[in-house]
Parts: sequence; structure tokens; C-alpha cells
Amino acid sequence: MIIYKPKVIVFCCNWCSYAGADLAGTSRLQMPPYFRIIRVMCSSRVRPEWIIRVLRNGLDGVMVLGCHPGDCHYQTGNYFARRRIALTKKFLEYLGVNPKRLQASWVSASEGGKFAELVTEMTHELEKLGPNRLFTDESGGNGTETTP
Amino acid sequence: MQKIRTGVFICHCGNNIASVVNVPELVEYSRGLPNVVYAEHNLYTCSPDGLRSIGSKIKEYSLNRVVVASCTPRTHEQLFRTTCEEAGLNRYLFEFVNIREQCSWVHMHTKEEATRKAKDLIKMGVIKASFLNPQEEVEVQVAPSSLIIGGGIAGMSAALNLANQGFEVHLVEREEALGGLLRRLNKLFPTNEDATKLIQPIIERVRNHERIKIHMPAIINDVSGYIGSFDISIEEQKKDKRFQVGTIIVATGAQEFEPNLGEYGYGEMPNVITQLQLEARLRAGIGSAEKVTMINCVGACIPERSYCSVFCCVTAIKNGIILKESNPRANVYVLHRELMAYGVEFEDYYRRAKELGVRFLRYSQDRPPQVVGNGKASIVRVYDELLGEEVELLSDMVVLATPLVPNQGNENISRMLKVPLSEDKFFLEAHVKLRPVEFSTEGIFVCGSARWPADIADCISQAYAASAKAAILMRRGFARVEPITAFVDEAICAGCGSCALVCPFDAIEVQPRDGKRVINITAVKCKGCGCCAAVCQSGAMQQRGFTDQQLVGMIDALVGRGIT
Amino acid sequence: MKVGGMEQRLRREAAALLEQGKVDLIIGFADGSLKFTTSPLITSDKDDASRLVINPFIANNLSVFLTGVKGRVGIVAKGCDSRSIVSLLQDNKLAREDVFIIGVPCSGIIDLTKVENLVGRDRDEIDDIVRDGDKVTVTVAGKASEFAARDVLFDNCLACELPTPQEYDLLLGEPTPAADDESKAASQEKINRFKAMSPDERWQFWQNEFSRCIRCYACRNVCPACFCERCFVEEAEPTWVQPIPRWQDNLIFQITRNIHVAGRCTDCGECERACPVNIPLRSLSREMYDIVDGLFSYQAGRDKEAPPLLACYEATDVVDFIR
Repeated sequence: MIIYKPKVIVFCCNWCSYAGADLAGTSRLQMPPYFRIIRVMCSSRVRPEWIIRVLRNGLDGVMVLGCHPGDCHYQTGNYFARRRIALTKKFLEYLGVNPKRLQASWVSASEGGKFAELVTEMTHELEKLGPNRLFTDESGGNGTETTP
Repeated sequence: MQKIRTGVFICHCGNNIASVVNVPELVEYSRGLPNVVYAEHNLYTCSPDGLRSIGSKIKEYSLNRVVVASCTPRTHEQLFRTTCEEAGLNRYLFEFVNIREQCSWVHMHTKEEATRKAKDLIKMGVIKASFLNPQEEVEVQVAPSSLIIGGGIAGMSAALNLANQGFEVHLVEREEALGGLLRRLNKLFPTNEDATKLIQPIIERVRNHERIKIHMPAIINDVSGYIGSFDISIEEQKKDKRFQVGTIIVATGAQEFEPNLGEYGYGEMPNVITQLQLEARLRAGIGSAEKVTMINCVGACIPERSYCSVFCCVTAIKNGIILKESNPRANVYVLHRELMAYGVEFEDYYRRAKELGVRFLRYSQDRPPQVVGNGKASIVRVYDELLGEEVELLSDMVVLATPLVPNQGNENISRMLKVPLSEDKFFLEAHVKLRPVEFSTEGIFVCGSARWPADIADCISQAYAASAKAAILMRRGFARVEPITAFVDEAICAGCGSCALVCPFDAIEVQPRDGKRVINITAVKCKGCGCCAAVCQSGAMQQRGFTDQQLVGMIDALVGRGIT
Repeated sequence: MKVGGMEQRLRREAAALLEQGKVDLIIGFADGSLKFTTSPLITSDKDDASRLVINPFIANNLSVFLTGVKGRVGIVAKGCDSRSIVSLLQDNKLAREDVFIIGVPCSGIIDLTKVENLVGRDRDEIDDIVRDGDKVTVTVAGKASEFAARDVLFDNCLACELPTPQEYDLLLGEPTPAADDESKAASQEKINRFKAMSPDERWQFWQNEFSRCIRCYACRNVCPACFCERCFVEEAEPTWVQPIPRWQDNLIFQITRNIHVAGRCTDCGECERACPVNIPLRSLSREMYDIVDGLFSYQAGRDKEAPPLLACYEATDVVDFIR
């Protein structure tokens, strides 16, 4: 039973994971409808600042999906992404952010099933975790209101 | 500064999208989004009507940004971009929102949520579009030469097709002779003509063609460069060679699956052989037997390898006919699961086999046949599904039909060319329906059994298709590189050079200028990964089409932040 | 070699360097205006060399000035400072030939706040603080008390594995040994206490701390690893952090800054010292240093030929976090 609707941003690389997500669609694999995909050309484009922005905005989780090691369309991108995300995840965990809110996986263009599984699992885990109130004030706001 | 005027076009895609997502509601919603001055829905936005509508609305409403919410950019992004361009709008002021593959098709039972999601995705797309800038494509020359990897029927057909059109062809074959798997065949279905007689003339034409350079035996060591000028380095007969080509066709074929030791007695009993081994015996004239039992689907249609290899059934039918014709008194049984005889000729072929007295028996996956014998196979026990009884077939030869499996070298080629493999490790095309013989990577194509088990007709058709696509590029003489390249703001850049270190294509150089270190990007080498933009902590390095402002704009849009 | 001896040698050498034109500037420490402090001294005048000091209070990381000066510079550098210089070399912010490193084998810097807490007196009431080996003698109103050096040194000094510069042009004295295990354990007390908290408690802790942050950017300005021409906080498109110092954006600023200097930060501790509202910033930067070391066996400023941390990767990089 869904208590709240965990909003997840999924960064997908154009060549592998975005195609894998498309394949999940072509195969009609049903998934919880709370994730939003943002396409980048390569997982190496994803900056830690974006991951932090997702959490800052009160969204509940973020996934970064790239090509399997050795299969990156740009040869080495996913290796850099791997290092960057490992660092970000460990540091955020130290600060008290639940590590389940940031997930990284390798999804190839043919792994529609894996994509569906990952998104479904992530959604269920975030449901158990509860909504992201990391940056919420006592007043309920989170300081992103733009001053006119 | 020019005011942004965005048009949003939302597709029903028949009822692929509309049956789940409330499209009229999306149109209403879009009208309220920042900078949106026009929104409409279409039954099929990619249809001539839909495209015409986009073109006319661009002019009528002076649109300077277009957002289409429909299927996946991997199908129609180029089409919509061209439509915009033809209406006078820079093709890179167009943004694609995926509400089919990644929305309506995967949230079919939660229509309200799917609609909500589609709204979010459109909002993100509209915000990104408002941060897009017009871009000019970089043109690269495409050399009128092609590398064809593999000298089987597919590779040779592609080679001849290209060479006959006047292009130079480098044909790289790792074996010592051309012809691939065909060399090992006896006769071909459904005509029963001789394989060698069919392939020999083709080999001759390839060998004698002045524009085909055959490298054999040779393996590919390295592929670098980019579309239009790939640098190929091979090892041919122990010598290293290099050459440049404009396009690449992968025609590496497949190999026969060898049954595991002991499977149905294979490897332990000398009279248990595969269909391919039977072909060799028939060619040598020693393939006759009195009691032949064929077992189909050995190593195929099972959990470990779930696909059907397409034509092994027809191969069994063919060899059954041949055996019966050479020895009418022989007992020939074909034990099968499904019997795949697609195509009109094949059904007739199957009928002919039955008329000749070849007997077909269906067995099920959970009760496979058992081959019994002492040192040699002598009996095959099988549960006949139709009869509902176990039967014993006396056999002096057992022939196993095995599937085609991917070549060992596929992973290596995949890595060298940066093209993907499917889960089964065959090469994966750009789109299974709409782009069957090309990869997502421009300039590289695939045909034949490298892609999926293919019989000769399929190999040749695909080879023609792949070579035709390659010819278009080479005939045109240039390709346009998508301008999703990196660019740097020199005022912000601190000259540390991390960007140059992470670029896989040596597109970034650090140069001294006036005592400072300055970044120089060679756009034609940049393939648009964005790694440099991510490693730059000050944000001086950005990627066109994927800037921080655009992507963070999307993240913010999702929560309504920064939208006034 | 005694501190006094190093100081004499420094004054001699610095004057000579300027006189012989081997450097255009000397950057070092001089006595500060407050008791038991030092101030940076940047001078092209050889007579100023006599003001240079080496004592237990030379806390600052002077390498932060290197990216702002022109010409050849002679710079006084402790272990951590010299690694910051190497880090700047890795990022091509300096040319090796433009810097003459005067290395100080460091026995640790005394944290005045710790001394004040131990004697229960303000610095102006303290007569003298003298370091002798692993003992520190504090004299208040004529009465001397002895403390273990371990109890009064800065936390990052207690953890220091390389107090002697490895990259230098001139080493002022004999190499000093690395911190022993007990010191290292003592240096981790604050962080260990923090790690004992639950995730929610930790986050609440930082929320509280950063509610005091006034976004003065002293931590950034004093850090040698922050070499950007234009800091991300000044970017408007997108606006990474709003200029209004809400705790959320303050925390985001610091998290992002730590990620940016990951692999460059040598745990010199300047950020925490510079913070006017006493936010325990080193609890962030030291942990990042350890994360970088733990995940990638990468230590900032050890190898001037090594690429920056996030501009390289190893085939053996950690993978267990990937699903």
C-alpha cells in the first residue's frame, strides 16, 4: 500500500540506460509511476551538484544509470561517474543522508527488465524510508521560495 | 533579448499514449506553462498531417521553441528537427519529451498518475527548451571507403554492393578463406542446391574485384577516429597495417553451438553428431545411415538460451530429405519441440519430407529424449507428445540440431567500435523495428548472423540494406556532427586542465596564451559525453544542449522552483 | 633541531634568497598582533627577513597566497602546507620553478583554545607557553603547569602522517616523526563522537551548526585548494546557492565545497580556524580526506605528477555501492 508517492529522478545515459528504459516500455513492463527520467548523453555528465539539488528540492531519491564498465559509448565516462558517485554517496551518508536515496547502477540497452526492477525496488525502498524532509524547516517550507 | 515563444505538440500515438494519458488535459496544462504561447494535440504527430501542423504553427505563432511530447527521441528526433528547420526554426531549438515508452506504456494501470507524470515531463521539457540556444552542426567529411568485418555471405554481398557502386572496400576476414559458415554446408534449403556451387562464384567476384581489398587472415586491433574517418589498425599475416575508412559494416556472423560433453551422448558416442557435422559427412559422401534419429532444439529454447535459432528445423527437414532420397529404406525420425517452417516454400518442404517418409515426433522440454547405447548410440527413447506414449527408436546415427550462438569475438568488436550487444550477446541494432541494420553510432552498420541467426536470403537482404545505408553517407560525402559539444567560458576558467585529462577523444588541449593557460576544444573530435563539463568544478566548461542551467532547470521545474 | 635554530637559519636563508635575486618575494610568518599568534609576512625587502619566525603558533597555510602573486616566490611551508603546494602543482596553478619551498619539519601547532580551556584562563592572562618535546609548559601568574603536547595540539596535527615536507628546495631542520597511534586516536575524538550519532541526529547537528553560518566564505578564502577564478556560489545561471544565508544553502555550500576540494584538501585545518562562528568544519574536511583515502587510496599532495582525484580512475575503483 502506498503511503506517499516517492518522487525519484533517474539520470539515464542516451546510449545504454535510456535505451534500456525504452525497451522496458516496448516490452510493456509496468512500474510505479513516480520516477522522472532526465536524459544525458553519458553518465559522466552527472554532477554531484545535481544530485544534491534533487535532494535540496525535496525530491525523495535519485538514480544514476550508466553503461556497464567497458561498454561506455565514450569509452571511459562511466569510470569517472563511478568514482564521483561513490564519493558523493559516502560523504552524504556520513552527513546523515540515508544512502538509499542515491543509487547507481549499470543498465545496458538490452536490459529493459533490469531497468524496471531497479525503479520498482527503489520506489518501494523509498516508500519505507518516508519522504525526504532533509531540507525542510520547522515551518514546513524548505527555503526555495523565490523572493519576488 | 527575444521573448521565448514555445509551442507544445502532444501526440496521441493512436491510442498508445491516449488510452492511458489524458492528452486534452495535457494540452490545457501546457498552455499554462512559462513561455508557452501555443499547444495542440495530434493523433500521430509524426504523420504528414502532424508535421505539417508543426510547420504551419511555427510560422503562424512565431514560435521560437518547439516541444513534442510523444514517443522516444531515438525514433523521431531527427524527423521533428528537420520539420522545424524547414519551417525556418533552428533545429536545435527543439526538445523531445518521452511520454510513451517511458510513461504510457509502463503505467497502463495508473492512468491518473501517468497523466500527472506526463505533465511533469512536459514541464521539464518546456523549461529546458526555454534555455536552449540555436546551434550549427559541424560537418565532417566521409571518406568513400568502407571496412567490412567478416568475409561470409553477408560480408561479401555488402562488399560487392559497395564496390560495384564505386566505393573502396577493405574486407577483413580472420579465417584463411572467404565464405564463412557456408563453406561447411552441403546443400541449401529449400532448393537442395549445392552450397559450394552457390558460394564459389561470389568468392571469385570478390577476389577479382579491383575495389575490394581483402585482408586475410587478419584481425582488427584497434578502431579510433570518428564517423567519416575511422582509423583502423589490423594485424594481417603477422604484419601491422593501418588504413582509414568512412564507414564500417559488421558482418562477423555466428558460430554453431557445440553441445556439452555427454549431452545426448555427444562427445562420448562417435555416432552422435551435430547437423553441421552431418553436412561435412554428406559432402564427403559418408553420411548415409539406416536408422537416423534427429533431435532438434539441443541448446535452444531452454532457460539458459531462450531464443529460437530460426532455421535449424528446416535444416533437419533438408537433411532428412537428403538421407531419405539417398536411401529410401532408411528410417529417419525428427524429434522436435515446435517445428519452425516459416515461409511458403518451407511448409511445402516439410510436406515433401513427410511424403518421402521422414517421420516427425513432438517431444516436450520437460521430457527430453534419451540416447542409450554401449559406446555407441543404439536407441533413442522419447515420450511422443501426440501419441501420449514413450517410444523407442533404434538408431545408428543421432543428429543434434543446435542453434547459432554469437561469435567469441563479438565482445571485443563491441568494445572497439563502441556498439552494444544484446543480452544474448548478438549485436544490438539501433531500433528493432525502425532501424534494423544500423547502430545508434553513426556510420557503423550490421548485417547477417552477427545480428541474429540469419539464413542466406536474410544475410543477403540485410547486407544490401546495410551497404545501401553506408553508401548514402559516403555518396553524400559528409556527415553532420550533432552540436552537443563542449564549450568553455574563458573568463571563469582557472586553467587547471582536468577537462583535458578526462576527454577520451583528445578533443581538449591546454595552450599557453599571454602567460595564462587557455582551453582549446576541437569541436569535430568532441563526441558530446560531457565528462569535461562535470569535472570542472567552477562550471566554466559546459556542454551544448546539456548545460547546467538546462539540467538544473529541469530538476527545479519538477518542484516549481524558479518558475514565475 | 631546536625551533630557535630553524628560525635563525630561516632568517639567514630568506635574506640571502632575496639578496641574490633568486626569489622576488618571501612569504612566511611574523609575530602577530595578539599574544601567541603569528601573521603572514609577504615581503620583497631583505631586511624584513629578520622578522620571520618559527614557533608553535605558525598555524596558517601560506600556500593560499601563491595563486595571487607574480614572479618567483620563496615560501615557508610546514608538512600540510607543502602538500597543498604539491596539490596546486597537480592542478597546474603553479609552475614548480616559480616556487622555492622552504620546508619546516613541523612538531605540531598549539591550539590556543585548548590551552585556555585547560588552564581556565584567557590568553591575555597567560604569561608564556613553551613547547619542549612532548611536553608543553604553560605559565600563568608566575605558576607553571605542564601538559602533554597531545592535549594542546590542533586535532589535525594529532593526525598528521607527514609533518615533514616531502617536496622542498630547502629543509630547515631534521625530519619530525609522524603522529603516533594515540595521537591519531585523540584527533578522531570529535569525528568519532559524531559518527556515534544516528543519521537523523547527524543531520540535525549540521542543521544546527549551519544555522549559525553567515556565509562569510572565510573557509573558502583561506583554503589553498579553492583556486577557482569564479566560485560556484557566484554563478547565477543556475543559482546553486541563494545569497541569503539560510541553513539549507549554507550546508549545501559547504558540502559542495568539500566535494570540489576532495583530493586537494590536505587537512591543514585552516577552514575551521578561520570560521568566525566556530562551526567544526574540519569534521567535514577530515572525513572527506579519509573517504578519498579509503575509497581510492588517494592522498592529496603526495605526488605532483598524479592527476587530480576526479580526473582519473582505476580499474579497481570501488563497485560495491552499485546495484
